[in-house]
Amino acid sequence: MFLSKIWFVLVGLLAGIAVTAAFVAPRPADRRIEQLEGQRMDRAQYAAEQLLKNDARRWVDYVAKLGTDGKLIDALDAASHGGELRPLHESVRNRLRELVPDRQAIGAESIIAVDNKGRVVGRVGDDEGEFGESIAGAEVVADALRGYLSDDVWGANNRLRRIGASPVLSKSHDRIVGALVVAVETGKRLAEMWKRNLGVDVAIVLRKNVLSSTLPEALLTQLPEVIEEHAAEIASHKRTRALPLYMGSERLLTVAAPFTGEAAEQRAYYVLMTKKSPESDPWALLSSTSSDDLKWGRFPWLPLGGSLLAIIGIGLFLQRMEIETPLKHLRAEVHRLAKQEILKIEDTKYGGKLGGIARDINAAIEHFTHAPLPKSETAKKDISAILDPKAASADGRSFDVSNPVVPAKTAVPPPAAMAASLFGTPRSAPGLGGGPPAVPAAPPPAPFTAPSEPAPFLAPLPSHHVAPPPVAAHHMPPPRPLPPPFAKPKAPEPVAPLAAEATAPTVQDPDVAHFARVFEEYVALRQKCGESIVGLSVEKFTAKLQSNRQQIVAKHNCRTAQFTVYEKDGKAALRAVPVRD
Amino acid sequence: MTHPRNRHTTLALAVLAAGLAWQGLAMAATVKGTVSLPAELKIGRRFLGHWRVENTNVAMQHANLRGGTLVLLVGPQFQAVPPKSVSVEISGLQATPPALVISEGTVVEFKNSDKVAHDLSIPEHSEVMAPERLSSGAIRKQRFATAGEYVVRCTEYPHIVVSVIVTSSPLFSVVEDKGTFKISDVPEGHATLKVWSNGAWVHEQEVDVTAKGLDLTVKVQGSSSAKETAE
Repeated sequence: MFLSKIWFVLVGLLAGIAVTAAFVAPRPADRRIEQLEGQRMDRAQYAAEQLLKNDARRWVDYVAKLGTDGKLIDALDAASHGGELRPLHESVRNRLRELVPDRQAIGAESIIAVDNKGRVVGRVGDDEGEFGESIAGAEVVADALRGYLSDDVWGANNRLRRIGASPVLSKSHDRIVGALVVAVETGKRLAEMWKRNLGVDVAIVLRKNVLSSTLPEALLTQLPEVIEEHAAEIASHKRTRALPLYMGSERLLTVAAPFTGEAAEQRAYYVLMTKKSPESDPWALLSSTSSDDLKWGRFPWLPLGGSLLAIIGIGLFLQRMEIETPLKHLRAEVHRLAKQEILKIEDTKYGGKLGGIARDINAAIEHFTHAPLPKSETAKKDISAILDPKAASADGRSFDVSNPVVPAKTAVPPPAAMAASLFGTPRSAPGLGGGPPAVPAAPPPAPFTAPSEPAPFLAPLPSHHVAPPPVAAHHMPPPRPLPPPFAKPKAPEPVAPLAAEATAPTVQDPDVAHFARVFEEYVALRQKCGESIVGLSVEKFTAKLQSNRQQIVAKHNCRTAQFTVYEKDGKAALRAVPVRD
Repeated sequence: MTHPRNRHTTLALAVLAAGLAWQGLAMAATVKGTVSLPAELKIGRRFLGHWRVENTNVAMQHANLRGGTLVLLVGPQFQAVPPKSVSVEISGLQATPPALVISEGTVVEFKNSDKVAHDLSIPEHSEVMAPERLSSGAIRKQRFATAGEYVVRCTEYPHIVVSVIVTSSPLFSVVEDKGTFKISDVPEGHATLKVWSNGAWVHEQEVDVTAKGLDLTVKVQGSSSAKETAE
């Protein structure tokens, strides 16, 4: 089974490598996808910054162009020279309405005209009716009054507005008479426009509040916190790297960048967002496959199928070669052994555990018969296990004479074996697949081995069961001298031959009465079981029991043996129990 | 008629007083000079947008620094200035004065003369001045008990910044629009001259004040130059 094991280990390793690859391989792909998505967000942020810059210039130029209007110049010039503001306010406001009729359509929230001191002369949009207050402190307005065209972003009153300002020069272009300031909506409109142009979702955040977004704002509750966590990164790099953001069950990739001007101080950011590709774990990849992916041209069906078949075929072949075939042979040999066609299993033919089983069977046979079988070539390896009484008795299939009192069920051979020994009918082997232990099915144990001729009282049996194993009889060990207490009443001759004992039982035998009682019980039980009692005689029965007792005593070094009668599978059977005391 | 002995005594006292006065005058010097700010501090803008383009017709005007720059001498002995009331008015979206030096315990009144409300606070020291909305026309009194530098900011209009230097020293001067400053009655000896502008200390140098006084030209380096020097 060595090759089979190696093969299974190799297949297991290959499977492990395949599974590892299946889980690991998507990671680099994920990183690459994330990198590409990050680059895409980088480009989108750069484009957004350019859009902001272009837009700022556009609005600055827009108010600069408005500032060339003659009526506006006149009104602001008059206001700068101390003219009454109210009529000038009306004039400027009306003129602005005329000049910018589509103010809302172009996204301008308000347009403010100030004189050269920074006082509001007139405006359209927010607070159109108010005038006279100074906004000269606003940096972009002060810059315009010094002659600069510039832009800014304001975040007052929880609104974000991009500001463009331009000085208004006198008609002679030699002095500054005022300035025009435009405030541009920076919210939903801008976000929607960017979404169309950049292909990403947009959110605008001011002081931890999401002012507007192309995504549901309620789902972006984590966004301000994420941005605040990266405030230092934004301050140094003017943007964040692509950050993951969880929106419900979806993952977003976000890049946040600050607005310029005062809004930067007010923590105003625009955030570009795109849905992140799902992580490519094997299950997600499998669930996202389409039928096209499994087409013959795209999927290596033949190499994969061929490989699988080759793996399975090699595994089956090795298993058959190393397990099934030897097992089949072993079983056949066991059958032959049970039929007494062979004396032992050729255990050298089997390797590994099967060889061990074969040797165990041989050892068990040798143990029961107590006759040395033809020496196994591998006996040296297992001789200790075979001859070890403890090891042999551990399975409870043989006598255990080490204990003074031995339970009947574990100390005696199986009843069937005993009966078989009496009648010379070895039980057929049940096979190795399970059921009763195999060892009792082996040739009958030596103490009960039938003599060369069946006992007269034995029932007739099929011919192939009748003959006892001749080899076992030939290899019967020479009778051993009885222990002194047992041999005392007998002649100095150690043990009489079996035939002599059977024909000449002595009255000195203390177990004669026991044997007679056992005989009576045995005959009664046979009659009860409907078995024939023809040919049974107490003399032969006693002689047989004496012979068996002698062998048990010799083998297990016990004082004597007690026999009991019991019913086994509807037939009368005998059980022998070694008695030490 | 005056007794001749009395006349002698009076004359002696007069000579002594004159001598002491001369000695006192000799100990007090004047430190003056010019502060030259880098472009980034004198353009008049702290928050720039994408564009800042000159018009092509009219010459650009210099930004009014509006007293936002201070020079302070640290080190010499001085007699503490008692606290007094100071007021700051916010009008036209700007604070006047934008920087002030006050002694410990001084109460500053912030008055909002704008039509819009202002949320004033000291973000770095909110325990000193927590955010509070100052409505149009309202006044907020704030006591500065501990010496230090405080920058009062408006949340809605970040360009509105009031620098408050709390020290009992009288040895300071507000830099004029042209960059000039003058600190009188400076004791002779070693001192440190510090320049405050746009809400931060931007320059510091060691000076030795002599009886003749000092006439300094203080050149403040820009942030890029400062970085190079530091490196």
